[in-house]
Amino acid sequence: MEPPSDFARSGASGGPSPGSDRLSPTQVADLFSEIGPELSRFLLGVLRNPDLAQDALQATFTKALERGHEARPESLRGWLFRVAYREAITLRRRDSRRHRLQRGLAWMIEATSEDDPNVDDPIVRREAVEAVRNALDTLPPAYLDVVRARIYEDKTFAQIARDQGLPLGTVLTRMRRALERLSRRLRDEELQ
Amino acid sequence: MTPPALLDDDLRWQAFRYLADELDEDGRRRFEARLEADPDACAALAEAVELVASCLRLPTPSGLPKGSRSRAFPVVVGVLIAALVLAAMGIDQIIGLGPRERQERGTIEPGIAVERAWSHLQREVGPLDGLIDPAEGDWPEEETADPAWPAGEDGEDPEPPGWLLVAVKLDGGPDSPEPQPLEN
Repeated sequence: MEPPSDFARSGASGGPSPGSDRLSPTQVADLFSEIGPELSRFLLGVLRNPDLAQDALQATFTKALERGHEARPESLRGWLFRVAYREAITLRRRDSRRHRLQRGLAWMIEATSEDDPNVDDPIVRREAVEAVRNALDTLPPAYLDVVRARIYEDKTFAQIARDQGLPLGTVLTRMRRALERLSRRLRDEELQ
Repeated sequence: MTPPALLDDDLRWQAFRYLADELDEDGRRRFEARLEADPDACAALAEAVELVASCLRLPTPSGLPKGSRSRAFPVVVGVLIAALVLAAMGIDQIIGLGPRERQERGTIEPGIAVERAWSHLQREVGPLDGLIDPAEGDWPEEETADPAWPAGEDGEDPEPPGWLLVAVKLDGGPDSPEPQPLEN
């Protein structure tokens, strides 16, 4: 994934708003287009709730309109992550009485449709699905067993170790190695 | 900020364990402290989400059935997809400018550009009611293909996202109220 281009104050995407140094709506729309999907994934990881993640994303880009010009262009991405995280924590605290933070990966199993893996959406890019599919095909069966149990069945590592009669360290090592392979394939895909 | 390809494997592993709730309380707290200050940790978490979600989009390895799925879920997915269509579209599509207009972009009032963007978005993806209130009703699957839905007709228009409204306020001219100072 490319680092974001230099939007702020460059004028290349519409320039700052008239009469102010603020980022223009066009510049913020550029940011939304370029970084929004990654921020969405990040917020989902923190909040584990698509509705709250969406609220936090909106609040983040509202702040980008109001305060984004205060960040240095080269650090705008980091600034957005910081703002997004604070918005997420604020929402999480505010919502904690209504919703307990989801544990494990069950919420992702619920929230990920297997009906049509060819549908492109920014949370799960089609090329990422393909990259992961290819990587899964090359995993040794012992690694695949751990991946299946941890990701698809949402068993804890301790449960997997018990079920498979393996030391916990072995399970952790297999999962970690499998993830490294999946991540590498994902990055290779991004570089192409 | 470190490019994703150079993120540390330890960081990726921490991010996955955080996502999967496999960190103890102290580890979770330390990772969250890192999220607050380190964009690389944020990027690693975003990558972990994509990786797990990508796996879950595929059939279970070895063909075992996945856990049950709630049928109420498509509403939430619809909301996410609708919102993120915004992100997937190029800026020219978002702003909805033709080649000539693109040349004149510098002369277009930002507030007008935002209004155009929203109208264009409505034309492109159809009503976004689910974006406003995902709790109400099911997400109609055929809605985006309905050519009979013209923007600005049939009474109420769906409300645009909050940040677009703020953009209009901020750039709407001298009558626009100044935003209150923010804490961040």
